Amino acid sequence: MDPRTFLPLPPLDFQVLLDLAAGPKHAYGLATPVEGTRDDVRLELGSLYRILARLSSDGLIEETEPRRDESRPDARRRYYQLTALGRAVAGAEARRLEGLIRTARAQRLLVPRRK
Amino acid sequence: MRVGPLVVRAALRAFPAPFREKYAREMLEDFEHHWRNTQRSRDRTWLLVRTVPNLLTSAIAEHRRSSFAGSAPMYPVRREGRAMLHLTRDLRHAARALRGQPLLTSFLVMTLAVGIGATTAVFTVVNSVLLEPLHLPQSGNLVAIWGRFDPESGFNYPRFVLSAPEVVDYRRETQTLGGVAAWQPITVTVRGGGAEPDRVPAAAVTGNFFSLLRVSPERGRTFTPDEDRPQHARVAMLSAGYWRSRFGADPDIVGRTVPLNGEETTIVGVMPPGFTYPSTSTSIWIPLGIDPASPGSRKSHSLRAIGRLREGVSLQQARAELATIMAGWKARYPDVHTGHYLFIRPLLDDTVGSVRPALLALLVATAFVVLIGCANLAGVLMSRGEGRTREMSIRAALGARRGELIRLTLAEAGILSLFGGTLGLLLAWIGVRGLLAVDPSSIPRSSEIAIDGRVPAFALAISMATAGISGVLPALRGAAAAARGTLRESSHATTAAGGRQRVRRALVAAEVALSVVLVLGAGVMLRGFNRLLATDPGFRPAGLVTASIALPSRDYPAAEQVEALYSSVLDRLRRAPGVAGASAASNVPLLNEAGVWDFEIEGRPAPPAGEMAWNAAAVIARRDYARTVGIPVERGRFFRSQDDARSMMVTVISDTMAKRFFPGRNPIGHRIRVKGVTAPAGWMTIVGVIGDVHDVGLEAAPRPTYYIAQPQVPSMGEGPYRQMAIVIRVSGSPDAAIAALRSVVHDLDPRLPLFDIESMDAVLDQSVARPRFTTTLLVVFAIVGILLGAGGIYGVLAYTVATRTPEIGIRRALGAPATRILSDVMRGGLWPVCLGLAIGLLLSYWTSRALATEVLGVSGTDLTTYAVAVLAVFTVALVSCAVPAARALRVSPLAALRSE
Repeated sequence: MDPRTFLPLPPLDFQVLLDLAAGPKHAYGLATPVEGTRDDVRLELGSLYRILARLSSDGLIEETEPRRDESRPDARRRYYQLTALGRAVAGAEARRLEGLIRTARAQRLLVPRRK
Repeated sequence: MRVGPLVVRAALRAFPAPFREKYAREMLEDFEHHWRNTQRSRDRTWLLVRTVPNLLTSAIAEHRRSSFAGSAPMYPVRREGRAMLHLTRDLRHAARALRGQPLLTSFLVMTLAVGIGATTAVFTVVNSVLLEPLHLPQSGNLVAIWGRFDPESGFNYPRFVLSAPEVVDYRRETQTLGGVAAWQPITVTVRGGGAEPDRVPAAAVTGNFFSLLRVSPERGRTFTPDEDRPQHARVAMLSAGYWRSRFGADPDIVGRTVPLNGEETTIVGVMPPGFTYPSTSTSIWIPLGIDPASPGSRKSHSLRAIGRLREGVSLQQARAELATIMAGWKARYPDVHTGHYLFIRPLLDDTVGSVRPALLALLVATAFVVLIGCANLAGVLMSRGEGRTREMSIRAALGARRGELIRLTLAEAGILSLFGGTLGLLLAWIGVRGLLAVDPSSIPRSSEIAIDGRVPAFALAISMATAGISGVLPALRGAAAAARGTLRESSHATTAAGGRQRVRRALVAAEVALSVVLVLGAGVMLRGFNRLLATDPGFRPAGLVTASIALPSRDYPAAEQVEALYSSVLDRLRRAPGVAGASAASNVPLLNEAGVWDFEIEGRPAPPAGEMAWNAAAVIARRDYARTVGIPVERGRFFRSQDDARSMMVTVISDTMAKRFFPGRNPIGHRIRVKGVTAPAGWMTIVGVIGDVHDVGLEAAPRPTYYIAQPQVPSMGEGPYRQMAIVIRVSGSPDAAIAALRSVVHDLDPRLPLFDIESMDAVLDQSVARPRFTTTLLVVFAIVGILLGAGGIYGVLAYTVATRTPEIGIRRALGAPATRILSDVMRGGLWPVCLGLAIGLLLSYWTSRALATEVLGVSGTDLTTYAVAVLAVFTVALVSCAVPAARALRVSPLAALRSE
């Protein structure tokens, strides 16, 4: 399947794919990104699970075997990871955005931030 | 604090089933994790406010999506979800519009939150008290069994306890009930365990009591059939709470003997925690000891009874069978069962039936508050819709369909209602605590009141209904206006279009009507309650305290011993400092109800069968009782110390008794005798008439009452009367008086516990706790209602007047006098108000009457209440009209015309 049929990705979908690019994560981990690393839009519970359901059924992410979470030994959690297609789609979206950014620079919309 | 996860659990139900099955558990766990990591309650509130609407909108979106999917894979390729896109777009658009007017938005959200919060809080109580089954296994088929005396029997008691032979016969003859158990509330004195003697509430029960309720003991066993016989060795069971508090949860309690009422009694079992039937204070159960072969007199009624419907048997079938059984009894015992019947009703009704009218009235009142909130919201949405007519028309001209325009308004209503509902749920959670703080003891099962899964679902349903009710009319009107192509009309019209004007008038009329009903209802309750409080109880409760003692027959077998103890307790007490007077009686007004005893009047034939029997409440009292509690002596005298076992028997009767049985005559000197007493000395001469006392409740008429001197009770041929309430008129502190009584009793017999220690002020207060609870809440709801209503009426009227500003400008410019314009504007604004008042008054005619009689037990509607309520609502409306009208007049004609 051509990754480009999925473009443009909704921003939150892209954000989830990016988070998973670093390695498998469970939903709770996706909802609580490390403080200060990015100024993300916060993912509310309902939206997050809808995105996970959608990305799964589109075949962009897949569930791994449930396993124990070190921080919560009581619960077995579903982990999600990128599929090859998902990785390709995220890459294609990133390239698309990169193209847009390049245009923005060319139009002098994007100037380096002053310290 | 479990409320957050509960709310989220409820919200998760909104998702389509396949989604829910896959993700709901994990989502809830995630939320619980967030919840635990959030400590401050403010942050938790914020978390909830963020999460719940998001869940609900996600759930709606997911429904749209899955309904589109049809038989295709569960999550089809994204771009097919067009409807979902519409919905999210609508919601986003609506949210943006609402964010643009934060003040208005927060006012509306608060309005809805208050209404939904109040309704949900009251629903929580209704849910726990009226709807939730009793905490007994399979309690749905438990029934209460009562007797009923119709006037034909010579008595008139719609609900009365049973006699032992009735219980035994019913148990033997019934096929529809799987069992019939009986019990009787008692109090027992417990000694031993190294502590002071204790007087605790207990129940004497039949052997099948526990098996009928299907509750097994936690330790030991229940009673054997053998133990439920008279003269059997004494055994008892303990409640878990009492086992812990009195016996320190002694693991070897089963088999121990404990002195109960002075008799060594073996503890055979301990019931599980939480089992406290028949009352939450029941600490001990002992066998009732009915002998089925000779159960005693059929006319001696003292037992409460319960039964369990057999599997598959309906209440109607059991009632039909009972009617057949009663016919048989009437044939066999015509002298007992003429006009006397048994009846059954569900145990839940029996437990909480008395509070149902009050709770339902409160629920209706809160529903009115919600409706007022709906009207407010509808009014604002209408006005906003009109302000946006131009926008709508452009959208329509650009090809937006009617449906989309309707959806936009509904989306606004939906967002506001959801936020209002979420906030309302939090308010309800606080409100329930508030409700219980007002007075928990007056509601049965109040300890069971809690928020369960049904409550958030209810709040959600109310929010949805609110959105629907308040959104649909403005949505339709707005879309219609847009469809007509009102681009032209929109801003150049000097008067508002007729149709919209009508809708707005209807809104004002509805708000006024609802407010009138609410305010009048609260007013009637308040007046009734004040009348209740102003009722003279017939005695002086201030500075009166009471405490009871009971002498065990084992320690005080002889009448002389009983008499000696009571007279020395009272003699010593009267000399104690801080005691202005002291006496004793078998029953204290409002605290424990005196039994009704039949009597004969000397020289008059007894009433024939079919006529009302002669009877009255009988109180056994000692000298000085009337003076101590403050009942005025109207004729003759009260008991004196000379009225003892050796002198002629005397009695004192109440005013009502004198009027009923000796109309137009002086009763003093006549003789009466308690029916059944055959001793020749049993005739009692009436020596005095004293004032009436509201002994069963301020709302109930005083009962005819006669007083018998305690020292003379043995003259009737009966044993001495051993349990008395000591009453003390204090001149100092009540606590000191009780302490004095305690030390006096302790000096005379350290084994005697004091119980039922009360100040009569508190007793009087407690007797009106339930009407106070209902009245307080109704008044609060009415105030909230009228404030919200005032806001809404003001908003709508002010807007109407504001739309007339250009018209006013033109008229002023043409030279119309200001007073003329003012009266015009006021007339236009006030006639829907008057219509609303009329409708409200019409509705109130029924509602306030029902309130007064069903909830408060007082009758009558009084004009003052009506006048005040109407005046209050009308004033609010008048101000709402006059202020914007005056403002419009102050605007110079030029500016008014230029405001185009």
